[in-house]
Amino acid sequence: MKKLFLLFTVAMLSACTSSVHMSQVDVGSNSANELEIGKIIEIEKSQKNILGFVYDTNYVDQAYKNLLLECPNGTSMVNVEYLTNHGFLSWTDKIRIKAVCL
Amino acid sequence: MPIKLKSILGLSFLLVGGCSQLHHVHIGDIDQSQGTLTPFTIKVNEFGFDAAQAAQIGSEVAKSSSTSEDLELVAFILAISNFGPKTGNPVYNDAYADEVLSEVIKACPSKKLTGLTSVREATNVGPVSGEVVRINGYCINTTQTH
Repeated sequence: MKKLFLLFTVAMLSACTSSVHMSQVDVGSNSANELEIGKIIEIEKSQKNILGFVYDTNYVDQAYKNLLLECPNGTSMVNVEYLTNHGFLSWTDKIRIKAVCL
Repeated sequence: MPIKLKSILGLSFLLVGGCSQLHHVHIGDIDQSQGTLTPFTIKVNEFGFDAAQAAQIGSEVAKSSSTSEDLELVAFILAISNFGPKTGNPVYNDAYADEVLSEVIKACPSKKLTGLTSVREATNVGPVSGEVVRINGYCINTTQTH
């Protein structure tokens, strides 16, 4: 019974931990920066790592290309978040971009 | 009585031993030419807990060797189940900093911002921590000249 409880606790604690490495907000040049809060877009791209091995390393470039596509006139504010979701001998790196399109 | 004293001493060390740790900082453009500046701060935080480290500490202080071995096994299972790069202690909610952008937008009624500083930091007390994202900045109070 004690071991079962221990196993259950371990299973609960090992579920879905994450680590946010960086979250930064940047604002454009001030002469142009009277924010008109219109369209806020959200982009998320990720990369799966298994024991440190990856096959697709351009997820940040893809996120950047999506940002350019979704905000063709540029952005006035950008929030970039870089985080990792942990897993069993593997992890997923994620980049989340939120931006205010001009 | 000595045990109680030891407990109090241990707890005091834990509380006093809590320390802040800076992980990342980013400073944006600062413009002081368009008006007076009003500072603002947005702060979001989340409970961080390193379960593997806690189990490891438990195994070291366990009185019986079988409990110690069990906890070492638990620490190992937790470590391989939560694999990957870590900044600070792991958290159980990866969306705690998602509202930062909208909070920054709300902070400035003038909608003119400058000098945004983004800080990723933590306050650690052993395997427990407060994982923090803080944004400092200034609202520009535009002066009307006629």
